Amino acid sequence: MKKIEKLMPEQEAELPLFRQRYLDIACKGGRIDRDALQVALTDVYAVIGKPAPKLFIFDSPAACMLALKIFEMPPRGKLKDQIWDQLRGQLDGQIWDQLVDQLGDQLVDQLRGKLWDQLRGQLEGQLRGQLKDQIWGKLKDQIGNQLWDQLWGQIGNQLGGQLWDQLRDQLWGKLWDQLVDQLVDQLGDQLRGKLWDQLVDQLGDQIWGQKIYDPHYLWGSQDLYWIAWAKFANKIGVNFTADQSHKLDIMERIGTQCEWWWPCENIVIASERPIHVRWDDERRLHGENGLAVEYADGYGLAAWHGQRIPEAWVTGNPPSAAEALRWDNLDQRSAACEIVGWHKIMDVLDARLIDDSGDHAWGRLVEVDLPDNGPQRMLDAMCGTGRRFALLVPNHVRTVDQAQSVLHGDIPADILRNGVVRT
Amino acid sequence: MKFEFDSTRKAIPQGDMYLIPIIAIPAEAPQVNAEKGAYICTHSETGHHHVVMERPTVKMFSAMDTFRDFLLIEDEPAKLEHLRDHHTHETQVIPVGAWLIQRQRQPGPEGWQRAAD
Repeated sequence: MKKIEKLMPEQEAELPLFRQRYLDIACKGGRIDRDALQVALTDVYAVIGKPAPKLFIFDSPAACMLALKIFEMPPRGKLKDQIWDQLRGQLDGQIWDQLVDQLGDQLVDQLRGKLWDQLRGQLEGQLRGQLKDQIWGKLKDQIGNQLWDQLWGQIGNQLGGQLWDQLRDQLWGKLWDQLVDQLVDQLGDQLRGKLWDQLVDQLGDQIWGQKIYDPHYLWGSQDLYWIAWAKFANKIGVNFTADQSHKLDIMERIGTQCEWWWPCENIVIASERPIHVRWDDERRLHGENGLAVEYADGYGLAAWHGQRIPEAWVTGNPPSAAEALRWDNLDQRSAACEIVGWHKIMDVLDARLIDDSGDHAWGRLVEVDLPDNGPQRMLDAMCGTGRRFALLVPNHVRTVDQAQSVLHGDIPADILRNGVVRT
Repeated sequence: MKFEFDSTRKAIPQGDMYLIPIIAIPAEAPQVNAEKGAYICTHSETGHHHVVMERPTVKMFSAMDTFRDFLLIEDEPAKLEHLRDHHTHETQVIPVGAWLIQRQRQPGPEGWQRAAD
């Protein structure tokens, strides 16, 4: 079979828009269409020979995990493996083979683009890391039975609102026993508002003492990176079998509705997608004035140029210069110093003057000793709005001219200086 | 991508970016589409972009580099505007010609990164 080696100009023009469309589906706050997702899940369960599952939707992966813990669902690894083997994993491998057979190497790379980086490398990786860190953190053994009872009481009504009406006459087996014996009796009317806000407000980090992290999820919208790739390849002429197209269609219908989802016997717990995802211009998760990933129930993660940071730093409680400099995690420390502003860091570290241009806008070169890091040179200057700022420069830099040059892509200082007044 | 500086025109600094006059846009630079009516010279997560408004005689080209792109102004000068209502960098006038958009950078844990204004 002759391979497709090159995109037509109109296909090349369409590709970034095609990728962006799928990225927007995953990250722009779309809500689940329950009926559409239910049909897609019924189809995926049919592929593995299972009856249609009941669907329960929560606002975030964290809330889903909490629900799974409360229901004490039986092990889900087997079902996940079945779906993976018979559909997701198998399909991925087959589609890869089809693409390699029918597309030139360069085109394969071009089609893949950076969707993987954003949806899986950044979004999924950071979320998974945070959930695991929070759950397996130092508080994990500190919660006693009393607090667990309290937790159940507080979340009971919320769960009742979302689940009980739907489940009342339909529950079966162990789930019924669990709800009746362990949960329903404790349902109170004390909980109002959003589940996550309440839990965070009232229990704070302690909730994570419960071992609720559950890795038996499938990726949903975070799978769109390869689904988009396969769909575009199909669009430009790569052929799939009817079976592959059918399975790809199922995965797309799930991925365009929900984020992580947990397949259980007779039940699927699915998470809504985030309501906001914020990136920097290098497409790393980044939120300067709020969470970089935010779910409707308030759960989310804070990130600074792709580095996970404490939420407080970008929600009105930034670290002080001294706190930033003492922060244990060195990558987070670097982010903290940027948030505080290097000029403030410089002021608490007795900066030594290396070179002074005599022009506030062009700046002066200083050196400080950063704890655990040693000497660090910085350009200390004034921007066009009259605000002071400082930027790190490599330690080999000896003059302000050199500093300005390296900060601007090694453009010679005389070219930069031959300019109109900076604004 | 290779280009030559044009020392007969002056550079234009605004906030964390420079427009550097160059002789011509490299032929291999792919054209970039405007977003919502504007070419974004530097992107800000908070929406405080530095932009040039879209018009038929303004074109932007990718330098395939996080810190650089190109701008071509034809027929009449354009404006470099800062979309922020506080600490706003005053608008600069961009004369006709080819320009290198050079964004400020600084070393970070993973190499060079954009320096936020």
